[in-house]
Amino acid sequence: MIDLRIPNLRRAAPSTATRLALTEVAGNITYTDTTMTVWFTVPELIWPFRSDAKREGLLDAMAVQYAHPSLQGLRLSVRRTTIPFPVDAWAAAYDTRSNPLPDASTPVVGRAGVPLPRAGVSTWGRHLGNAREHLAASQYTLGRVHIGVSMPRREMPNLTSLIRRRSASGDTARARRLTEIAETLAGVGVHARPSTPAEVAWLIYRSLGIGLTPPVHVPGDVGPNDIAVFSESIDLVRGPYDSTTELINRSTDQRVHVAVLTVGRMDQLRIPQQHQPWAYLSTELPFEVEWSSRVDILGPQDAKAQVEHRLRMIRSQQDEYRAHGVDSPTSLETLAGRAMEINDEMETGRPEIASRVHGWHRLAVSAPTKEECLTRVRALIRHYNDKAKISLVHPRGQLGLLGEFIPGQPVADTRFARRMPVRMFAAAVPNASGAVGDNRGDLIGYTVSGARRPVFFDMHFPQMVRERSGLTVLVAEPGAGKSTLLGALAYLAARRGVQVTLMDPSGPLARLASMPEMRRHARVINLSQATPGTLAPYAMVPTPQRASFAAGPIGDDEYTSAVANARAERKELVLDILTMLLPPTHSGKAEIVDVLSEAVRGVPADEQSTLEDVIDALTALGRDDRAANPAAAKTAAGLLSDVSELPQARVFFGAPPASALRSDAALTVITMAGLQLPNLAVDRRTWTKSQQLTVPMLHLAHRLAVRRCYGGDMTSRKMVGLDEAHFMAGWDSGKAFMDRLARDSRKWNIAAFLASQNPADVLGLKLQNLTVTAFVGRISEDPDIAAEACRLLSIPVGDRYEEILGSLSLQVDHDTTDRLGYRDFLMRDVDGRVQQVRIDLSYVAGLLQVLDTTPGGDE
Amino acid sequence: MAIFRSDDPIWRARLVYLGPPNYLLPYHFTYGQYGLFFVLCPAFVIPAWTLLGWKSIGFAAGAAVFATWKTFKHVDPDQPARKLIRVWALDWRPVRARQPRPVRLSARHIRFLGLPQRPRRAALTRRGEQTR
Repeated sequence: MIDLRIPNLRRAAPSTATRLALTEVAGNITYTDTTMTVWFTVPELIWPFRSDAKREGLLDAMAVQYAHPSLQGLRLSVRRTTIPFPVDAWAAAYDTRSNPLPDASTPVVGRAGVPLPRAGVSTWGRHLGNAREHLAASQYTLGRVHIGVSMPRREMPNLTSLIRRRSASGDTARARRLTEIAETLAGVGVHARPSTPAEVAWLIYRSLGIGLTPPVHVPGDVGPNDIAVFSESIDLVRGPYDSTTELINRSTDQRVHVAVLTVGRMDQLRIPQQHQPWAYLSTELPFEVEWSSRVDILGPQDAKAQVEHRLRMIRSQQDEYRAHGVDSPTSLETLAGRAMEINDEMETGRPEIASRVHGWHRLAVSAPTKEECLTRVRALIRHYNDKAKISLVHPRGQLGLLGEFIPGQPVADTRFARRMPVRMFAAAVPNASGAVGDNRGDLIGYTVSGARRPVFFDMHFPQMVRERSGLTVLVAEPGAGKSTLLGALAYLAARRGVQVTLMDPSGPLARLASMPEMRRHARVINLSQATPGTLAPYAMVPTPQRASFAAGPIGDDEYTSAVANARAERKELVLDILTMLLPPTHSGKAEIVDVLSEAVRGVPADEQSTLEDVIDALTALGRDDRAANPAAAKTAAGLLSDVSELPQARVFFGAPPASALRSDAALTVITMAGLQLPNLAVDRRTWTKSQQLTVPMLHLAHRLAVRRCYGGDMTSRKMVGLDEAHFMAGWDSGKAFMDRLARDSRKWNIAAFLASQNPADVLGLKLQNLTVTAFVGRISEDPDIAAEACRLLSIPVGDRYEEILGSLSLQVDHDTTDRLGYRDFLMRDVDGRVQQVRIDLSYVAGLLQVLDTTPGGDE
Repeated sequence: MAIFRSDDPIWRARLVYLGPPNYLLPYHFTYGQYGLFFVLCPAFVIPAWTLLGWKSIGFAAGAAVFATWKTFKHVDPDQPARKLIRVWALDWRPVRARQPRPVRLSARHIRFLGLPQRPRRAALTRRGEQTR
């Protein structure tokens, strides 16, 4: 219906308050004089880094829902708006869940007996405040999508109801239809639920004042007399033919300029293979874009009638050309062919293929000034043109278009109507999202692709909430930020009161202990200078405690079994360590392995046993003529005695000092600074003596790091970070250790981090099914390695994601000599969501400087 | 691979009037152009004829042709002429912010209270305090 009323040109247009069509809000229903709209909220749909087959399946499911007979003939309003990220709620919950370290204080005590913080030291309050301010300054928003289904407020009774004399039949049928609509939209695909009154109120406020900060509203029903409460404080200002409209909040004097664009011509779209969903594209820009679609769902019959009508018009034009003896333009024939194609599709296809969606799709951008608003308009137009060959138009009649965002307001401008199959409409996916992480942990950065969202990571969320393993892997090539990320996560965890142990062979993470706020709570163990016996292999496998098992006979059995397993593990570990300590010329010989096994069997597999006991057993075997191979035993004993005299090997021999196994330090960093790790791909015989000793040292150092976790309370939160974990894959005891760590991580509440430079190293540990979180940084462009990284992230191989891995944290400007100021990772969280994340820890003063491992980085 | 194509192209067919049967017009215009011209023509011609006489009819018709041509430069399948004209008409109106009305006070008479009452002229005369 076209409004042909002649406008009063002498008077200015009425203000917002008087032109609102909305008359009433009750629950999730908004009323006008003639229509009612039922509002549903659509949850976010994780879109990036999923397989194409899965995404196509989702589009199909959504198309079936939109084409459902209960929605045919109705008008749908799809609104995408944003809500600010709840910074204060996050900060409060984060503080509650933390058990922060006592702040470093001077001996000076304040008036109330409270120690005064030392100048320059980041107290917990300051740390939390910095994170909160950083979040608030970034102005993150969360997308929220609503679907409104409009229908007439009063329906004419049909003939059947008149015959049956059911006066209330109109209401009954409508209630039944509403239930059917709610059930249809709640299914897999759209997954919508009825909106809450607070959500509807937010939507109305947000629609009336696009770009303005809505007031704090107490949700509830709003009657006809109070409806002006939504619009009373908002004024519109614009001149004749203005390209933007200025919105003013009279209460706060906030002013924004808003421009509305509409979707114009659309080229062919290949979603998801080549293009992103066409409504999701609007969320990829660094400013907020409001989306409004008003569409009519046409069933197969109605859609077919319209197409046939158009086809007859085209045919008629062709006939006219023929009647005049002129060749008709080729375009007409093409259009007739396309119309025939659509007609055929409708006749033979399923309802979701035959159904059509006709309507209008508008986008609104806002900015504090008109110039900035128009700049954003141009950016949005360019983005759509580049990414999907969709032309966005910035038309005249901005005031009417702006009104279309308001619930209940009629379509003001019927230009730029788009007609498409229902599946293409479903492929808009305005609720697509790239969220990752939990909303409760440490702030570690923000998402890069799609709408920018803060990323939080609570390393104990998988164990404590999702009841999954606590294993996280970090994989990246050198320089891609792996160690920095591990160190940062350890710092943030330690500040929250998590007991942290880091195994860092190269040693830069030890600098964390020098930070003022960590100095009193950190400890560094340098194994190259450690006291003898620090890495005694027998002591590295802890004896299970009876208290860790359930009471009763079943618990008794489990405990006995665990003790036996610990003894067996000790023997296996000692055998592997002895094999590593022996020169490669002897370690592989069968007779040497046999005598070592026999000697290890002869030594009690207790924590108190030492390698000297094994050497004694070997010596005894060498002297025993009844032994199977006394000569081999004598040789092995001699060789091991030689090794024990080396200064570097003293850490393996003797009993460990008690302080090495038990420590109350919040942060312990174990390093092997100065030692050189060998290349595992090279033959052992070419290794230097120092490199040969480094391998068992690294092996036992990993165990020492984990050993601390088993000493305390099972439920307390612990973190273990193991760098160069792939060295464990070469020995059976190492693989068994990693497997046990991953399995125990849930029961013992351990967040275990394995870091490596190559995804194949981690895959070699066969822990994929226990890995719940993964961070993968820049990986070499080798397609095989990239494919392994994809497997680690559980994302499809061959869907072009390998290219993304190769391009992470790359300096685009080749002429610059500046260092890249950020590092990107692909992160997979416990819920299987994958997203590109930019690590941003700039809110922690001094942390990145401490963790900088780049040579000459201080310059 | 799923390829999505809109149905819009079939709504973009350009329907032109070629002429009466057995006669092909030299210029082909759309039905919309003819429609607008026939609306504009009387709107231009009648006032011109009334005010300026019959000699001006030619100029008025020319003006109608010009207006039609100018309008259809902006018309495309997404923006039919009638909708475009309506938007031009509506978009012309400015919108001003609501201004708070200034407070005005009006009164028929002003009464001052609490001032010392002046003695009447008669009483002053009686007491011999008349000044003039």
